[in-house]
Amino acid sequence: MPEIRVQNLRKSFGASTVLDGIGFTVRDKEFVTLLGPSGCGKTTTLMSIAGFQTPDEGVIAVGGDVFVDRAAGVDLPAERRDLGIVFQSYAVWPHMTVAQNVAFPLSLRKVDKRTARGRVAEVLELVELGAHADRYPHQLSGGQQQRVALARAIAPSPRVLLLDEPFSNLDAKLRERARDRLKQLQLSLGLTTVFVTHDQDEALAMSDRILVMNGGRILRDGTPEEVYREPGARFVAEFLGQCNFVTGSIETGPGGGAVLRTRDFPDGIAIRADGVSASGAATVAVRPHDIELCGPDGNGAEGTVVESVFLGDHYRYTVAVGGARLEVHAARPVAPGPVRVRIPPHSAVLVD
Amino acid sequence: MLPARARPVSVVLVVALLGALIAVPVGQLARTAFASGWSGAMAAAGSRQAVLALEHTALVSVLVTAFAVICGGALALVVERRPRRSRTLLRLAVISPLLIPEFVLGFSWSQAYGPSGTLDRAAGITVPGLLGPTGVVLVLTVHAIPLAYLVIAAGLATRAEPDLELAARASGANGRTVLRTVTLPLLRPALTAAAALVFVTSTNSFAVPQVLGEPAGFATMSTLIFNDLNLSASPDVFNQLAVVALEQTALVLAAILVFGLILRRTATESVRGPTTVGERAAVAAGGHVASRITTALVGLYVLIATVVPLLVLIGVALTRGPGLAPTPANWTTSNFADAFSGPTWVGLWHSLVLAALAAVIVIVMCLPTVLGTGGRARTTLGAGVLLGYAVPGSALAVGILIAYGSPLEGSAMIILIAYLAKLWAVGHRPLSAGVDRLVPEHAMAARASGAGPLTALGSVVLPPLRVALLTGAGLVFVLAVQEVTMSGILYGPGSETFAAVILNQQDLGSDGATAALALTMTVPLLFIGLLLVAGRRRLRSPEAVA
Repeated sequence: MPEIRVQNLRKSFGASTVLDGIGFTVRDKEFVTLLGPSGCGKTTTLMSIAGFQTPDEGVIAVGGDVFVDRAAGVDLPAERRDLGIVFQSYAVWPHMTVAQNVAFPLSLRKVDKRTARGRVAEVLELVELGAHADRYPHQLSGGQQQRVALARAIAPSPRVLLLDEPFSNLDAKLRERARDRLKQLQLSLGLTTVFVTHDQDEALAMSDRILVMNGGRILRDGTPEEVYREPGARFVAEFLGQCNFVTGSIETGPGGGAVLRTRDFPDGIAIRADGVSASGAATVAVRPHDIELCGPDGNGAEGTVVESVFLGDHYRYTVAVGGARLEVHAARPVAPGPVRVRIPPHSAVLVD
Repeated sequence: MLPARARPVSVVLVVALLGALIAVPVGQLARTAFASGWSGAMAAAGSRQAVLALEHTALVSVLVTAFAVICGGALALVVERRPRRSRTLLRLAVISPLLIPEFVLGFSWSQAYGPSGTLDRAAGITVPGLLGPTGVVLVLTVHAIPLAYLVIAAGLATRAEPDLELAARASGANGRTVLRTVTLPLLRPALTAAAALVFVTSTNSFAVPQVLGEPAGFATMSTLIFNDLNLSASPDVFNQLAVVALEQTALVLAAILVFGLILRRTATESVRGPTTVGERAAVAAGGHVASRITTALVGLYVLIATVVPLLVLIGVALTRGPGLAPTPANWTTSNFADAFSGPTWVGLWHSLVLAALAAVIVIVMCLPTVLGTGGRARTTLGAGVLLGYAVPGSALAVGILIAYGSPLEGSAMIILIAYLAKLWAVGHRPLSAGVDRLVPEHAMAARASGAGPLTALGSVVLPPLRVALLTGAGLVFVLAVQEVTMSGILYGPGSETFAAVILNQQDLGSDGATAALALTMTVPLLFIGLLLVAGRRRLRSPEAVA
């Protein structure tokens, strides 16, 4: 089965290290996202799998085939890896019609003409471009070109689908539709997929698993829920959605759980974590929508609402608590001025 | 860019200039060619000399076009697909033959690789057939490769994005298949444009056939016109010359028409996808071993094509007498002293003044076209200006001689007119490209900030054009200083140009003095050429940022 195995990839350009020991496995039919800021090494990793970049060290294998094994001197050329790839620029060939673009990988695989024609029609139907088969790329919109690129990538039923920021050049509305369409296609065809993006929403919405990368390393590997709820590292928490950070010292609370003691929260902040044994200085992360605001007479830390913004489906407040400023999202309006701020038990997680 | 009411004035001005500088001379040429009727013209065209010259010209142009486009294309693919770092020097190396005047290239090749040339005496190495058709084709190809290279490299940059090739690789195509199915089809318009440019340039070429072909009795249309004009002043000969010149013009225009039709058929609109990281360009090129081999090959080519001939030129210029080894014991400056006796200083002065005047006037002539017209008028007038460049220099010179010779014959003024007609296009191109790149919003933003129309023009419209103006003027200057076809035909006693002096010196057979003069001309031009290359890069940089 086409399982992708990536081990210990290393790559430097001169003095800068782009990949610093990247390793992960993508299971059959799994949708895995490499998420990170630009320069984190996600595209280099993808291009190494595709065969357009050679890592200095490491192993890449798909199913039983070793693509790259630097130690053994193996580096299979891109054209012999049997992959489908969608580029950020789409890279739709301007001198070929839509149908010719999609048929090209089939003709290289010596698929006979009639079968190929059927397959092209079938794939174009899948991406809803059946009526545009004879058009040239310059006659298509950006979204349509993106679908041609996708159709071309999946036409030969590749073992693995690689996606390099395929939505970043679409406008917001189109992007959401394209995302849903691609996800459905991936599920129904059972495509093993590696997806590269810097957009957290795309990553959360589409992935079975997210690998958050920074500085050429994988910082977190887990399902979207795991990565969002237990980021583990401050960078991951910040990169996936907004986050507040509170620093203090860890103690064992009355119930036996860990509690973060800090001057601004007299009752401490209960930390969600099993068997936190650490003590001493620590930082916890709290999502803005987990924090509760109530009237000045309630319990919780004393705070002051200093800024409020209405965002349609919620309000965003900036609340001063002691010397710190917290971002809080609330469904209902809160009057400016003094408030009580409560961090419910187990909504705070420890981060490095 | 200028107010709308200035447009009709601009159009009338440009049309009048086009008429005076190009249409009238070509028309007068035709009138003279047909002076003794259709049958007379046919008889002249059918003369053995004329037929041979036509055949030679066509043969040379076809071969040079084929070789230069193949080599230039291959070099562009190899060099332009490399990482940015290693690209700059290789590019410069590849275009170096273009920075050397055509005459100097031909002369230094003959001194280096010709019979009893430096390498022949030192090691018995000659290029067989250098004096004759082989040599003419070879050296013209060397000179044309950079032209083809520049056009094809531009095509690679704008049409064949590396991602398109990577997508084909990912689809299962190997390097050869990618080249055949994606890269070359995408480059077809650029290859056609390169072929057109090279064909026109080599059909019009005069200096190389004169230096390498003439001694072997191999005449092209340009050299036939030049040499017959020098030999005889009888009206009959003149009418025959006019026929050949008209034929040559027709050949070039027909070629442009054919290439234009091919271009129209092959031009598929390119999809302007978002550009991606430049580093990937390197990926498509393949391994480091391959890049080292190509570096070595490009290096070898440049060594043979420009470095050795230039070194030999220096050697010949500094060595006491013909046949002596260029060792310190034989070094002398007497060649320079000989070379600069007689009318040389005057010729140099004429050339510099004429070139400077041409540069300034051409730029002024360009302004109404690029700033004062818009839309279809600008495209049409621009095409007219460019067509003027295509008219062979020898034909244009004869036409101008007929049209304006009676008051101006032998004066520097008539040479200036020829330069303006020929080099208008050279100034027009960078300026027009610069204006195309102007962002209308810049002027609007300036106006919204409180600038009046003139302040806006001066503060945000013209400054970005500065590099384009300098590039245009610089190119006109460089080409005017080395121009030899027209000034060779048009100069009279007291109005010789530097290039004409060099040509005469070479004709007299004084190699040392010719080399000294050629060197005097080449070194500053090479320097200005390098500045212009740097300027071109700056000209392109705003695009890279956007």
